[in-house]
Amino acid sequence: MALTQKSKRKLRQNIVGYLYISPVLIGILIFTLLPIVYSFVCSFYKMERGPFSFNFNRYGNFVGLKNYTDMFTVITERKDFLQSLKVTFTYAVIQIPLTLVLSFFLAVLLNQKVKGMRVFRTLYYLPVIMPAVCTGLLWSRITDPNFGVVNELLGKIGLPAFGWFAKAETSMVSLILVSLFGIGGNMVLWLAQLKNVPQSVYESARLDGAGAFRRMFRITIPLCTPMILYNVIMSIIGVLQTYAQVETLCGAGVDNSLYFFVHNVYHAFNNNNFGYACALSFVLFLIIGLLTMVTLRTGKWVYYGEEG
Amino acid sequence: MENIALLQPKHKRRLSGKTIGLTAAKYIVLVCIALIILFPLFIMIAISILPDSEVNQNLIFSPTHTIYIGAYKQLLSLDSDYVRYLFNTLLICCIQFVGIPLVSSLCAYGFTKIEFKGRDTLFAVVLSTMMIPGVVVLIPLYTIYVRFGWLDTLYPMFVPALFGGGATNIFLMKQFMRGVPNDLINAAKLDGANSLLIFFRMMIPMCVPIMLFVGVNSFLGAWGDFMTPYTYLSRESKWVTLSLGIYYEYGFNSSKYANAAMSAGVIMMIPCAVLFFVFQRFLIEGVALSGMKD
Repeated sequence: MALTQKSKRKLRQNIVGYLYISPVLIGILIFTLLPIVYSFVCSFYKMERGPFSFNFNRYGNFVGLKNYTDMFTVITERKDFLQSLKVTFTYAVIQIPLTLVLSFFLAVLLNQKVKGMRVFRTLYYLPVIMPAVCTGLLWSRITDPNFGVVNELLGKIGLPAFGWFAKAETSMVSLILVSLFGIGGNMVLWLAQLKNVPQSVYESARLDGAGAFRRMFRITIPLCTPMILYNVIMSIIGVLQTYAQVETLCGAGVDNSLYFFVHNVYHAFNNNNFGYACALSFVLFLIIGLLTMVTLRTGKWVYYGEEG
Repeated sequence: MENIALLQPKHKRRLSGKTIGLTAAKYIVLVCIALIILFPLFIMIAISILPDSEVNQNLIFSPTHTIYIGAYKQLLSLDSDYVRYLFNTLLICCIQFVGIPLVSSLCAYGFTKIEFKGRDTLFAVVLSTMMIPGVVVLIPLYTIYVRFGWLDTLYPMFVPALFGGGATNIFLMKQFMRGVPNDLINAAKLDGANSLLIFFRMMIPMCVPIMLFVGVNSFLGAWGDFMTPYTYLSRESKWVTLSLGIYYEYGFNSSKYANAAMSAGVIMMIPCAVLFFVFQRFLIEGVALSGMKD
């Protein structure tokens, strides 16, 4: 009797638990899992975008891996695909390390018992909360070849005008420069980490005669590696999906000089080439997944504390 | 760290010339960086108050020292499209501000304080959705929304968010709720309270800080969201949001005057700035806590 009572209570508890988390389970099912599976199936069809339906042949034909091979074989598709890869990876390879390093120096600077640290921290963080559209609007105007004030100011101090987003060669550099204004986001992460390093470790290192540089490279940075790893992974996921910032700033740039991977996806999507758009987004998924795995695998440099 | 400094006896340190020089150098660098970072914002405001006739003269300041607020007036006149965008966006943001903390705390409560079969596995599944790139879901969701008849409506902007409120928010809530002692909950149970009563009467009052953080963050996220309206709203839709409206009407290839475009941006920034300054410590330290930006 007591046993059934107990199992009854357990069953009830299970049901209550599932009820509490049912919103997120249903949400993931409908708004994440279903679209992903659907998209995966669609990527094997040459199809238009139409209402969701399991009757795949309604909007197109099964073509097997053709959408995936088209990226490499069909001339127009290949050109766009390779350009988008080139742009996206150039940006990622420069922007991620640069942001990480510069934000580190900024955080170290701010961490030095400076009075008014909070004020500076707030000011540096301010651009991070700016909506992408505002940033885009603003920078497209500031760097405008005809009316932009930056070139005007450069001229006043005797420097030649810069091409910014009006020239294909300077677009990437300009975008990276603009992205550095969001450095406050990373800086805050560093600051939190720096505060976490126990002061006693520094004290004993100082007693042992370790200089400022040694303390930084032997203590500070190793202790911050878990955050670096996490940050690098999140940056890879974020940066490879760059779109809104660039699209609102200058579209795909002059001569497609800022044609990111997601530009390519939306290009196919807007041209009603739905199957191809799905295939492209899965390639992106694959790239991000692989890079994340590689980063985690090479994670031997990460210090997880004494215990393990 | 500051505590340790307080405990140590205060030396009457004589400030040498070197330390003063070093401190001054630090401040000069910090102020310079602040100026550089704030420079674009400053330009934005300066251009927004230029008169129409001076907008295209490569100026920052009006040579005639006029402050022109006509651009703002035009944007904020009651029947303007801009006001419509503003209200659409505000509606989405308010729903998210209230809804997301509520649903994510419900889910987090289930994951933290109720034991049921497969709980940890399911939580891992929820967390793994954080790793899925948005585009992979945005594109196929389009077809689902066509089927639901949700294109050119506001539903895509808030309904999915109300299903759980996102993995990160649930995670944050869970971290916070772990700090609530189980004894407290067990005591309430012995007094005959059911879990819903415990949740509303005990958990929510204790979770106000984290709920506020999640709410403000959701508000800011929805306010600046570009991808969702861009994918599911057409330019002509009456539900166009601020992000989308500004992009189409005042974006890089529009022919509108720059003062109008910059005013549009400045107005959009005001709620962000206000929320940010009110909650700044909270937001920044929360970001540090959760380890994410954006």
